[in-house]
Amino acid sequence: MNRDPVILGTGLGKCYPIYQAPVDRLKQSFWRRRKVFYREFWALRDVSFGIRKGETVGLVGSNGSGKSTLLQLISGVLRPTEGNLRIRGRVSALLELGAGFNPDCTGRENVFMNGAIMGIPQQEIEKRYDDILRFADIGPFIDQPVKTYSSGMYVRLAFAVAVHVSPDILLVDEALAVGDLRFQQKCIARIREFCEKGTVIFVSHDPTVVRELCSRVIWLEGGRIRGDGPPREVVDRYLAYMYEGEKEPAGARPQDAAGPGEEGPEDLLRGFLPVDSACRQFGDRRAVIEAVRVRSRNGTAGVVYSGDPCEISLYFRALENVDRPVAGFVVRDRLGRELLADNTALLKKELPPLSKGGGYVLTFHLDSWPNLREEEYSLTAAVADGSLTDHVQCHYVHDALVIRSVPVRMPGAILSVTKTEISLGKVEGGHAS
Amino acid sequence: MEHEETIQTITPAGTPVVPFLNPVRLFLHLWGFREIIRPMTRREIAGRYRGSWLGVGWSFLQPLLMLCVYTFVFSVVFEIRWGMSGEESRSAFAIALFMGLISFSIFSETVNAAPSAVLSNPNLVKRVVFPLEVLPLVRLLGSFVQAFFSLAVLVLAMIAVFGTVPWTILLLPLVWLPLGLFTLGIAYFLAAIGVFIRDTGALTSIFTTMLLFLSPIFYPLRAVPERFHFLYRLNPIAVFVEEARKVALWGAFPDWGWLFAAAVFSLAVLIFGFLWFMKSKNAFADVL
Repeated sequence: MNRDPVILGTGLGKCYPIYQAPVDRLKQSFWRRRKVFYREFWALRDVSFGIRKGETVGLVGSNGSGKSTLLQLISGVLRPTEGNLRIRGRVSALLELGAGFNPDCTGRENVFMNGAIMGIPQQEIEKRYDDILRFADIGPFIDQPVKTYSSGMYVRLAFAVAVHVSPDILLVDEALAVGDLRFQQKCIARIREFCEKGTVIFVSHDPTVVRELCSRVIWLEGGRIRGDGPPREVVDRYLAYMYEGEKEPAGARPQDAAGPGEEGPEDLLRGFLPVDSACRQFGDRRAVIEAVRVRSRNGTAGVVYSGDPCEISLYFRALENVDRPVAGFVVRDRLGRELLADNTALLKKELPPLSKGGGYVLTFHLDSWPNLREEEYSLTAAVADGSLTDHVQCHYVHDALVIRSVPVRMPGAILSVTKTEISLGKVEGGHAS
Repeated sequence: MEHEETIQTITPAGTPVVPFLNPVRLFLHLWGFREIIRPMTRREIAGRYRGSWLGVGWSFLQPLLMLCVYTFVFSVVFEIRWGMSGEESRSAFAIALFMGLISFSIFSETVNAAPSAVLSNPNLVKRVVFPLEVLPLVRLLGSFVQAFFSLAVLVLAMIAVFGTVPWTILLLPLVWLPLGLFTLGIAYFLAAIGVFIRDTGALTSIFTTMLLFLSPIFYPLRAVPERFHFLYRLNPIAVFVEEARKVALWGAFPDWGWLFAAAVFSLAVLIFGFLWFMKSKNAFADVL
């Protein structure tokens, strides 16, 4: 195997000028470089890396971290503002599927045109044409203009072309949720197959997929490389960053004015995340939930491990006296289904009245976190005044926190118990009567 | 891998444009995209009358009908004469006018479409790596195909009216080729400008309409007072229209000197337009 990098990026940067008003763009062209009328926004800066043949590289990072920009640079759609890229071999991008299609041309013509755009000789496409057709599975529609296609057919054809042109380097964006489930499976299988022999760069938000598919992970944040190495290590650091919110890049998220760290005892309030004012919330605000925390095992906030004890804590402050406080939480999945909920009234635990101005930390100690699928869940927290059946909400915060659940094994449905033993007994004489 | 490995270097500067000063490099570059150009041109032609009942028949009918209208207005109402003798002059006028229009529309169709050629395809600019330089060329080829349809109508009309077609009509490509180069050069220039200045489209159509009347299309060059002739000699379209008419209708040889000068000039225009286009191509994505 050739050890030279197939992709070599040196000091890559991409800058977008931001103009306050369109007229500034005009002024700029008159002034040339003598006076600057724009603010610079660097989507990517000082990014250097080398990718060797056969590597499957996962690209992770929060929204706006520069992942897509980097893929666009490699695919050649964007040109870097500084630095340069050397690419050896044919690049095929599963980025903007079908963006290059001419809506008036038939599917067949578009297959050949798409190939030609990628610089592939006609004979080579002819050889693969049948495979492409079979993969796209759009039947006689292939001779219809693609503008008559359903969006699924459109994307299927584009995907089929992109993976059948025998690229040396395949760029995959996670927005791969194309077509129906069956086709998605086919796509994933094809990508996996390609990972075996080719070089793949894979952008995803899903740590499971990244850990499973990739041999190396590059973590981008704020347009710079924050981590580059083995998947488990980098993904864990990335997750810790995401959920613990350590050192937010400037301007990435408005910091809550009243950070709990300044007020309470330092150790009691560690790992709390302030409630974002953007959360949906209601209540008479006699008591206000200011921050929440979920942690288990090793104390990483926001990540819980199935089967391990875990703590769910609410930090709230009483703005008025609350006579009969009740506090609780609900854990929901992505579809908003309630999976887990508890409150002090259900637990028959009577809290003392809250006195005006007081700050409290209420912690639910769960003996074991259920075995949930590995995905993101949201925590909703509430403080009310009254009883289980008759109460007034003081503060009810939807989706105050995002939790990632790490399963001990794949649950068959939404959840499973953490431990199940199997025993098999053989019944003599065949069937039971 | 079964195909040869290519190495590409992506730098902020983009593809160097200087090599395209050599016209051979320029043509080879465009030739390399023939697989894209061919189906797009086919669609361009078929797309014009797509869905209509007559289809490509309109390519013949439309020029024919326009020919009738022009003939009526200019020779019956305005009584313009081409200076030919006898009864047949009215239909002969129609043919002369038609020939002028065919040549002119190669230019005007391409140039009028140029300002929006890139502008109307933001997908190809921002979302994929597409050789944008084929867009104006596709339009030009479409116009040429239309011109040949019209030429077929013209030849039939000539046989009907004159009973013969001069052999020099075979020299027509020699005149049309530089016309094509000139047109393409202008189209590249306008396609690039059009992305940055949206008024280009409106200005262009006014300009081509002016040129239509300032070129010897509805009248022979002879009808123009002698002192204005030099202006017509400076108008490349006028030269091409006149020379094309000479070889296709009057059975005369073109004015070789002017034709050669025009060809050199056209090539220069093309190179300039192409370089301009390639140079500003990098900035398209910033403003679309």
